[in-house]
Amino acid sequence: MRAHVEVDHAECQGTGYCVRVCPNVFEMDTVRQAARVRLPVVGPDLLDAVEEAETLCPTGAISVVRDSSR
Amino acid sequence: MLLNHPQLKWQWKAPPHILSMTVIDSYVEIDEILRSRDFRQGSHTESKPFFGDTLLLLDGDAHLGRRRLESRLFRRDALDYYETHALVPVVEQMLAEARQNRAADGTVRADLVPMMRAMLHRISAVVAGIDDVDIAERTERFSSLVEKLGEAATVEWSTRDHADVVREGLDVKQAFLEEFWIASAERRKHLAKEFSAGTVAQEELPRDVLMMMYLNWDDTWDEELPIRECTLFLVASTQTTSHSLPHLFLHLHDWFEEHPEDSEKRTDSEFLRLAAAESLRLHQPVPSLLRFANTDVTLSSGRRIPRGERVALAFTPANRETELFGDDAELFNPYREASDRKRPWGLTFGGGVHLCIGRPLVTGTSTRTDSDAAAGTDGTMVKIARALYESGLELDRDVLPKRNDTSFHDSYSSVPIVLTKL
Repeated sequence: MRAHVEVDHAECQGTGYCVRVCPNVFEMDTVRQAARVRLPVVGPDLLDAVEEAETLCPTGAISVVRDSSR
Repeated sequence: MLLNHPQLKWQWKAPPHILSMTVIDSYVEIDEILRSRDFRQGSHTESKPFFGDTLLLLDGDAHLGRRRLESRLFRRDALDYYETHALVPVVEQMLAEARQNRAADGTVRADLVPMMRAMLHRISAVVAGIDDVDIAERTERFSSLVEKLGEAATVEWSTRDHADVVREGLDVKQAFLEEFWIASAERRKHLAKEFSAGTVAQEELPRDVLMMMYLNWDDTWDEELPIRECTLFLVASTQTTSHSLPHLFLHLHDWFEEHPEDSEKRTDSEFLRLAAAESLRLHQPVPSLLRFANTDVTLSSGRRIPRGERVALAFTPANRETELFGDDAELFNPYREASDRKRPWGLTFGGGVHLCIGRPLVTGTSTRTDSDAAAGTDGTMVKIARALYESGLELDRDVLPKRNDTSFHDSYSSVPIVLTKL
C-alpha cells in the first residue's frame, strides 16, 4: 500500500507539527513559512506517520490519499 | 427583518476584561499573531481551576504532545463515527421528545436554546467520555451542571460578580463529579487495565477523551487533569455550537423572508453549509482571544508589541472588514465570495497551533477537495439545521427571542420555535 501526500499551501499556517511528527516526509519552507512535502509518495513504513500528521495538522492542510492499487 | 428589532440588535464592544489590554481588530494582524510562535496563550487566567493545563492553555512541546494524543479523536473515521452513532440518533431522540410535548391545539412548540444545548450536551458527552447522558431527565441535569461549569470556565466574560461565578462553579464541579464523572472515569480506568492485560481489544474501547487519557497516562499529570480536560471538551463543544445555531436560524429566517426563492433550500446541505459558514463569520463563540507576547514583536504592519504585553484579539470587527468580505460585510449573505475561500468563517475557529481541534466536527469534512469529498461528514451545524427544517422549524411569531444578558458572549438565552411537521 502506498499513499500520496500533499500540503495545501493556501491552508498551511506553518505550525510545523507535521515536521515534528514525520520529518522524513515533511520539511519547513522557511521563506514561505509553510510546510512542504519532501517525499510525495510513501510506502507502508511511513503510512501511520503521515496519517498522524494529516490528523494533527490544525488547519487540515495535509491530505493523504491511499493508493489501493499497489 | 426580525434581526432589525431593537431588542435583538447587537454590536460588539470590548468587554471590561480586555479594557486594560491592547485591543487588535485587524484581520491581518490577528491572523499573524495567531500563527506566530512569539505569542503564547493568554486566555482563562481567572478560570484556571477549570481549564488549567488543558490542551487549550498549553504551549510548546506540551501542547504538541497533548494535541497529538487528542487529535486521534478527530480522525476522519472518528468523525464519521460521531456523526452516525452520536449526532444522528441524538437529533432523532430529541425530536421524538419534543413530539411528546404537543399542545392541545396540535402544535409542537419548543425553545431552540435549551434544545440545542441538550442535543450538543449529549453529543459532547460521547466525545468527552461521560456515560449515561441519554435520557431526558439525565440530560437535563447534565446540561444544568455543564452550563454552570461553562459559566465558571469562561468567567472572564461574565457580567456577574466573578468571584461568585467561580465559587458556584466549584460547587457545581463537585456535583458533576459525583453524579456523572466518577463512574465514567472508573469504568475507563478499569478498561485501560484490561486492555493492558490483553483481555479487552482496542475495538471494544470507547473513543473519547477520558479513555484516551487513561490509556496513555502520563505520570507528570495530576489526578484532576482528566476532569479539567473533560470539562474543556464539554464546555468548548457545547457553548460554541449551541451559541452558533440560534444565530444561523435567525439569519435564515430573515434571509428566506427577503429571498423566498431560496426557501426550498432550507433542507439542502450545500446551502446550509454556506449559510453556517457565513453565520460563523458574523458571530464568534468567544468575545475575544488573548495572547501574551513572548518577546518584543514588530508585526508586518509595523505595530510594536513589547515582551510580556497581553493583547486582545477582536475577531468580530476583523471578520467584518469590508476589504476582505465586501461592502456589505456586516450583513448575512450565504453566497458571499470571501477572499479566503478556504476559511469562509474567517477567524472564528482561531488559527495557528491553537486552531479549534473540534472544527471538523462542527463544519464537517465534505467541503474538502480531495477524492474523499463525497464521503465526508456534514458537521453538527448542517446536520442539526437540516433535521430541524425537515421537522418544519419556524420561529414562533408570538414570542420574541431574548439575548443573553449574563455574559458578553454574542448569544441568545431564548429562541421560541414551532415545529410544524412533527
